[in-house]
Amino acid sequence: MSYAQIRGYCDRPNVRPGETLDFFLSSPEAGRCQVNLVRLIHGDRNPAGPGYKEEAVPSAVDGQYAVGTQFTQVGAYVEVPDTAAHLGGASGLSLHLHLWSTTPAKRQGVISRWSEAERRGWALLIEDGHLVLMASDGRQQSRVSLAQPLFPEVWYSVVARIDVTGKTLSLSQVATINSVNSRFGRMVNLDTDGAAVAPLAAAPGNPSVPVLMAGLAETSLVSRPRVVALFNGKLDGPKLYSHALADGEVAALHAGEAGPAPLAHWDFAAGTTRRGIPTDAAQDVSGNGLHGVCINQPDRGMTGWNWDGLEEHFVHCPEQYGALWFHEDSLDDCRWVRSLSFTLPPDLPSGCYALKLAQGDKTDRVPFFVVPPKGTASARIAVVIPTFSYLAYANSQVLLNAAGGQSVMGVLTTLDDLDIELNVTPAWGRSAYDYHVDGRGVQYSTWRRPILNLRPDYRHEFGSVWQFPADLHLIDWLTVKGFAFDVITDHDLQAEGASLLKRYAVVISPSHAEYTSSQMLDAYEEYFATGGRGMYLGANGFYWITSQHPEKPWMIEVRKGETGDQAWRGRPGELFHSTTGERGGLWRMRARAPQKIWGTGYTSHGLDVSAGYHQLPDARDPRVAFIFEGIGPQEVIGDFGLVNEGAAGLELDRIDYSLGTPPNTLLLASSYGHSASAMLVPEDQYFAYPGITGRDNPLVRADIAYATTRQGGAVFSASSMAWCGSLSHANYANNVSRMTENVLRRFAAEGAVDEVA
Amino acid sequence: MPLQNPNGYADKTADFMAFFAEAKRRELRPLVTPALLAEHAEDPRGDQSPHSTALQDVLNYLHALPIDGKSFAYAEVPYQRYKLGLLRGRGNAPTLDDPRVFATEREAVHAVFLQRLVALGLLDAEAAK
Repeated sequence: MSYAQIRGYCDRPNVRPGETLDFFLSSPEAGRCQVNLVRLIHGDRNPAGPGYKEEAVPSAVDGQYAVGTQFTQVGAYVEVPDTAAHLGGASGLSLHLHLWSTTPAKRQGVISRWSEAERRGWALLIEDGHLVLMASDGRQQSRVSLAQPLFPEVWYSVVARIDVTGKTLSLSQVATINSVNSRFGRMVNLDTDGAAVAPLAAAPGNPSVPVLMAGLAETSLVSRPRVVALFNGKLDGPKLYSHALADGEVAALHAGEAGPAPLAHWDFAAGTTRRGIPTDAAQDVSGNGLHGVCINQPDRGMTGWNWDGLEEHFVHCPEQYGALWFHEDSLDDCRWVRSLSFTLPPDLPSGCYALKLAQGDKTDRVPFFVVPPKGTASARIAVVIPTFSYLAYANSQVLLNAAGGQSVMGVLTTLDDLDIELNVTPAWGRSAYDYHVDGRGVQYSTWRRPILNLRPDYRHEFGSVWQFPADLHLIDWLTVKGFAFDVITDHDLQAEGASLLKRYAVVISPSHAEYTSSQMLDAYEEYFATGGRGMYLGANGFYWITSQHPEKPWMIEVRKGETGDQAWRGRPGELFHSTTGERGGLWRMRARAPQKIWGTGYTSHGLDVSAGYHQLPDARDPRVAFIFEGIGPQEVIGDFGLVNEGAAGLELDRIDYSLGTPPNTLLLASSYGHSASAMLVPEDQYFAYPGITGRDNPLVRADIAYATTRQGGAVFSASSMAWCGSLSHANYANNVSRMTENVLRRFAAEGAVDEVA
Repeated sequence: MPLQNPNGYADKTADFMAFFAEAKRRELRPLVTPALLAEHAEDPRGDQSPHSTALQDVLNYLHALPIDGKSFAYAEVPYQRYKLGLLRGRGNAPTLDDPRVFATEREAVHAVFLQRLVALGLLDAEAAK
């Protein structure tokens, strides 16, 4: 069974009326496809809810377009054009680098100027766990390999020489283990150093491909080579020399001493500033200008061969952070040829839209978010679409690959065709919840690829609607209730800050705005400090420190660890973001717990069973009577809904004054009745102990909290990812809908709310 | 004798994992009773009432099984038509050759439960029918 079908993506998530958005389409069947603009209202096809809703929006983009199959280069590597063939090696060549291989068993290029098609050039590669040096003029091929196999995740110094005069190829490796840089330490009695020499039949020819690090060029296309045999692991400080070095010089390089002046020396830490190293440049620091460029975003800010463990921030010690970590499944941009451009009508209302693609019996929808014209608001209410979080989850494949996934979810998994397509299509890339092939967590995520779990009706592998389809629960409710609202995105907030929020009387954060930058937190704090009002209708929000790539704003970076609900954990010394220099991990660990802004913060996940909220004494406070209008004092809030039949579910937040919940916060209601699979978050466990589940721990709950802020501002927090899934229950006539409406109407109204001091 | 070949050293954790699996299955086998099967059939998620301790113990083990060969409910047409599949790991399409079709997710999930019990030797195949 083939899961391939027409797919597409656009160049960015947010666009204003009158601006142009580029779309990139690919199909396994060359032909034509029908394109239509649609507005997305409700995606969840759960038969207990209102069902799928979208509206056709006739526009100039509607029509038939040609589509074909587009190629996606997956895998990270460095390309050095070397158009003048300075690095061809015709007169001899030496190279030195440090290498740390994660998957030595597979064939992979380390550094090469080699065409697989022409079988010409030179290449240092790994075959069957051993280093190999090849040279060929296209007719006569020579090779030398080392008898000693590479130990995975052990640093080696490697020197390769092509001696054209002496007609030899030579290769040597020396392990450079210290107490912290490799998988194991110095006490292991390791015999892995080696050297070998072989005859050279002919000087390397000059293939029409660039120098590549971490791969081999398959073809000799003028535009861009197709790269195969991609390397998994770290490379540090590659240097090329214009001749075969003497044995003494080789020994000096292996000993960590400076050698003769190189022809090229790529220092992957060159360009590091206090704001990180947010660039694809791979600088040649030899002075010869043989600079390279990174393709598909290898991991930067990585510990190098000489990292001694005393400094953990690459900004402070770039000389020990000279490594790039390459993965054969990295992706920063599919780089497809543009299929169409769509200039939005100047009067297109703000909202959630998609280009609907139809070819034969296959359909895809490519969502994007239309925000108001620059500097304006078209309503008093804004929904902040959490596009950073959509990116973090983009194309997650946890339940198909992680044995522990079902233990976390507490359910026996249900999967559909989209999940399977993701697992069998490397070109769609991975999410910040997945691991690369070599076991490293995925720390970058890109918008520029088809994001299958961003489709409006996708039921997430976690067993419920999640992220965008879940946020459409709110979009639908606002639409049905007749509220005028704008959508704005994390990307807009990142760019515009508090001035964007201040155009609105109230902003709503929907189901799961988990990934947040410092700029975004600054914006919310400033907004609430100056009279803004917010409704937090989700949970586990504002949790992971997230950076936007300054040069590639369609990408984000996350470093998970050292605590939190972690899909993976950054390695020692690798917790700082390459793109901004910021420390990664939880905002809570940087003194910006979500409680400081929204009153509540992440406390538990419980993905199998949802519950309702029970009213607490503060619910009777006359200053919050407006919140409970039409709701009886004995009513359980939200013991119903599309998400596991309760409004408090999936992930839950609680107040915690020690973490920054404003002292004047009222606790209106809390959920009760969570399952044995609802667990207290790791950062609250300190010691692991029995009794941390929803059956027995009072911290496993969702809190409905309310606080007023400066200048008439206020914050209402529902603190549950499942909240919005209950809005449509009983034809939208229920106490979750009523409470949400009570708060929204009051917050959107003119005039200050009553202060709760 | 110095260490020369990285492939010559097995992860000995596997030895204990095999011991653990055998011991765990021995402990779980008496828990798999008709009443436990009926409890799961009635309420596979535990959203009607909390699962019994016995069922939770069994589920905890079933949830954590390795990926290759792990059964799942395949939503051929979500909310309408389900089958039973077996995961085959990264990059591989799952096996979907079980002919049974289920009208609801709940029925499919219960079939996943029974399949895993049978595969582990905790339930006789005939009893699973």
